[in-house]
Amino acid sequence: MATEAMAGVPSKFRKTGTTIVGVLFEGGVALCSDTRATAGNIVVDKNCLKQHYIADNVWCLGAGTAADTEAVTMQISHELRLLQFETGRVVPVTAAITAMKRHLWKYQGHVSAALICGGVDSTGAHLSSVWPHGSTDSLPFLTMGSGCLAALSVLERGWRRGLTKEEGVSLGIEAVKAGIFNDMGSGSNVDVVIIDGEGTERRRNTVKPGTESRGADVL
Amino acid sequence: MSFSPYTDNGGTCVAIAGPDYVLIAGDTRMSDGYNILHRDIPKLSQFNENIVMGTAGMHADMIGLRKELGIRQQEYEYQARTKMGVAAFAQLLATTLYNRRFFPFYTFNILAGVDTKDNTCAIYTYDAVGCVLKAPYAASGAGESLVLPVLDAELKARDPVTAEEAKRVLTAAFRAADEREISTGDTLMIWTMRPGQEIVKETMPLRRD
Repeated sequence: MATEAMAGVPSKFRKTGTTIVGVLFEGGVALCSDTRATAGNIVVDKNCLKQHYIADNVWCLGAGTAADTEAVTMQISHELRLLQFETGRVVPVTAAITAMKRHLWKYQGHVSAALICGGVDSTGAHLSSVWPHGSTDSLPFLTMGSGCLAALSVLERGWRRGLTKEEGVSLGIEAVKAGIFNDMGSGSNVDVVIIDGEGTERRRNTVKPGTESRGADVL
Repeated sequence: MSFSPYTDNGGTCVAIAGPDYVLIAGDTRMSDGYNILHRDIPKLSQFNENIVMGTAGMHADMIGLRKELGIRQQEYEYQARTKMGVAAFAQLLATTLYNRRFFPFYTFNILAGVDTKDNTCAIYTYDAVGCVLKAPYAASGAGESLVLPVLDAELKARDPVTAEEAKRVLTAAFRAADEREISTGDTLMIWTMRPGQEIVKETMPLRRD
């Protein structure tokens, strides 16, 4: 079996030492991420994209080994497209989450993808995290990646029931900023994807706290 | 859990020398793993107006090493009734490091100084156990592998550059480490030493992410 052959093989691949955040607000969900990709102590991409398309109404943020988050979300996206063709309906968010957790569980943690999945369907707005071993959490605010402690402290302080869209988005941005400044695995800019009843809105590099903290060459 | 006496607190030091100046610079971030412990810890230590040491590696060992060197320097200056010169200090640093051959100071040092006898400027680079190299420019620490190729391209096989040009090269090289190496950042300290003059101390903001 493939997993037996993989046991004990260290994964020293391109990791997204990351801060990713999901926030539920009134009628929708905001997903925010930083844009730094690292290999060990070296930054390999200063402005990478950690948002992954699952369906028009479902998006995903990925932390962990870049290849794994990419492959898993791509596979699940295609799986959901087939489901959509079969049923002729807007896919439910839970279908995406179930597909992800089944895939990750099958690989017993060897596929290092830590995902935050959010979306809106006929039953409302949903937000879940999926861990590399296949467990899931469904909560009103979530964070994963190496910057999760910094981000979580901001979310714990700022989240309340009934946040408006813009309040939810700016809370998510602030949480990612805490990760950018306080976690060395996270950095550069903040990307946002907002999903509500109206549709999906993407804001690439909505703020650039890491880049802007760099001073001018004064000397 | 077994006792592990070493930590790597990250950061980078760079020095460039010319005929009548020597620059030494270091960032001020102190980190442990992915955590930033402090954003304003200098890596430069001044021993007298002619001797400055830049230290990357483990901060606790930098403090220990600096203390030991300070004591030995004072001892020397009392006995010789004269200020310590860079050449003597360079040798002192080498022997101090080698004394700990089998339990080394986890420090990677650069020494910058002005030789008052002939008004020349010098840089010495060290490994953790006291192997010395006299060099026209040097880098040490987490960003060493990013900075040195830039300095090679800009300074090798070139006539001595002016202090202003050297400072431009130094900041550009440091920028590379700042942008691409995660433990280097916050503030850059640049000290300029010239024979018979006070050390000029400047700072430049770096990335804080």
